[in-house]
Amino acid sequence: MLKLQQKTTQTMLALHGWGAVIFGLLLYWVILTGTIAVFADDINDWASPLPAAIPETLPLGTDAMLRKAAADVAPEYLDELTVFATAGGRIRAFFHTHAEAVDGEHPEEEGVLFVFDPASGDILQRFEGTQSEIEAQSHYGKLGHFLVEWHVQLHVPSPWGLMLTGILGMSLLVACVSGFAMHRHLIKDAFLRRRRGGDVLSHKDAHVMASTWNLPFAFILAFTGSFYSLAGAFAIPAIAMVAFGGDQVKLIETVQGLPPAEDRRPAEMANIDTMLEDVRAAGHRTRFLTVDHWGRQDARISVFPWQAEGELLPKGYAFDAQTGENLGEKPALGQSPSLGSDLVALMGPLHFGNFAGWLSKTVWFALGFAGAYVCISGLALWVKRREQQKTWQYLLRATLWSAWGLPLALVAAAAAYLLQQAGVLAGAVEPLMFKAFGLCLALSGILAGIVRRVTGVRRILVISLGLGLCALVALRLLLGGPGWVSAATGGLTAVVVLDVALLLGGAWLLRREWRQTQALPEGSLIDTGDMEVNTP
Amino acid sequence: MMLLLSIAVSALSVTALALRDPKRLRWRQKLARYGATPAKGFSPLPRRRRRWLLTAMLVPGVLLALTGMWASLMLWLGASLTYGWLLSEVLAARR
Repeated sequence: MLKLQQKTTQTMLALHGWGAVIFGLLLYWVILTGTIAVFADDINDWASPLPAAIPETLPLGTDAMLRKAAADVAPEYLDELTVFATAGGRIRAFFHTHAEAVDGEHPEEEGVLFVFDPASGDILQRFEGTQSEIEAQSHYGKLGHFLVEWHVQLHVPSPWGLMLTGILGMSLLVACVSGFAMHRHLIKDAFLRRRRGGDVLSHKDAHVMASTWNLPFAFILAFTGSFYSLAGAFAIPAIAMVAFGGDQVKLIETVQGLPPAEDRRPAEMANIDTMLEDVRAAGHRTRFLTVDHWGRQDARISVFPWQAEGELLPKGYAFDAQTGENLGEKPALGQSPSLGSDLVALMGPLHFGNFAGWLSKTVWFALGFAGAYVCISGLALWVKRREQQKTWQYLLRATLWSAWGLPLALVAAAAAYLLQQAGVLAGAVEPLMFKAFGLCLALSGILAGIVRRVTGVRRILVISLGLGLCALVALRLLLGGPGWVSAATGGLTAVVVLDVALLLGGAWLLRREWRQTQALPEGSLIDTGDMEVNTP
Repeated sequence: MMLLLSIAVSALSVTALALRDPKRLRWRQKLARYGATPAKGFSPLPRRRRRWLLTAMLVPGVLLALTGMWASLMLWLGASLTYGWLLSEVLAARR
């Protein structure tokens, strides 16, 4: 796009290419899992549906459920409460306090987690302990969580995982800027996709065309993703160290304001259902709520809804816990509305694409998919340009392994979730998902290493993935999941839509591979001087 | 409604630009020499008309921004870019 000197272009190319070689595969993992995680809530609804859809998150009766639970926990756990929907619309209420971890350095949440059936108000599960102990036992929503954790921190413990994904986000930003600067005909080549027997030009067009269309969003997603990863893991501790002598609490108090004075006297809580109705009356769908100091004079309640139609910025409402009065909007940052607060609030919808339901999520999924494609096509192009050097063939095999082996391993993890849920596999769900994921990834890795021809590696992995996607639907049905008719009549949109998407995706991959098998072998390419094409 | 209209206008402009893109058509002509179906009925657009179409593609986004419809703006941008990429891939896959 920019007219650069030859040397500068070469530097940009080296930065772009070597950055991709170093970070490309991990970046692909983060992008692909993030792309699928756009539908994490829907995937949870698909994997663990209730018999019928719950029309509203936190419906009428939430107040009674929370009162019942509050009466059943130790007083110290009434310190904080977070309530949100999980798989199938079940309500997850976590009464907790912030206790010091064994090492005395890292505070960990400790309390009681309740999972409610929103239709009947019954307690489905109750777990007590530290958050990590509870998470090890709880089951609902774990499939989506598994995906999200890959995307957020590659399942590497904090803060290292966040720093790693932050660096990957920065490397994507560098790739966006260097790619934009060095491709001289980025816009002019937007529709140019020459397919001629998989040569360098074909690979280049595939990469350049996808990245041209994806560039604005790749930049947005890289920037917002880096912000999320690095703000918590690096920026807040760094600012605290520079300006507050390392005191992060002081920093947060400075930005968010001092919490109101403590008043431990008991007080009757206002009806939370009325507050939720108040938010719904403003055109919102409720999403989650938090309560500080349940049953005390200094209790505070905040309700956070989804964006109303046409809104981009998420909102939060504060309520008087004793009178139930709506105290107005709660800014994302600070005590009063500000540009900084709006900018911070903007990061969420721009990164997650969840501001307009299925429509925005579908668009963000497509753009994320394009980003993943850009990663893989870029790596393929890099190897293609070095086809004669045998060492780079290992990168090609690793690229194919990641491109197809990762989604295949995710399918295996989903299968493990379904099997554990149905009681076929015993044990905690997350370790089982890890085992299935790791085993599948290892097998596909071995396959990628030992199959003689690279095309054979791709063929086996693509066919396996195609079959795996279809088999996942069959497995869900075989294990007693709702059939399509009952899902449709029960309003379980996620079940029907994701089943169809999985089947279509699997069928498309199988058809694509079958067609490639039917195509003539590479030996029949004819050299036409300035180009080569497959003979018809 | 405004969102759908914006996406439709941009999608139509992208389609016209893609179908009559000079570089793509030049490649199709080359392919036709070796047995592929030529892009019949399509001639490359003159530069001026391409600029008009490019403007038409972008105008809905500018209008959405001017009217402060930020959610629609993001959806329009995402949908238009996805459509552009998919259309280019589909056109390239045609024999």
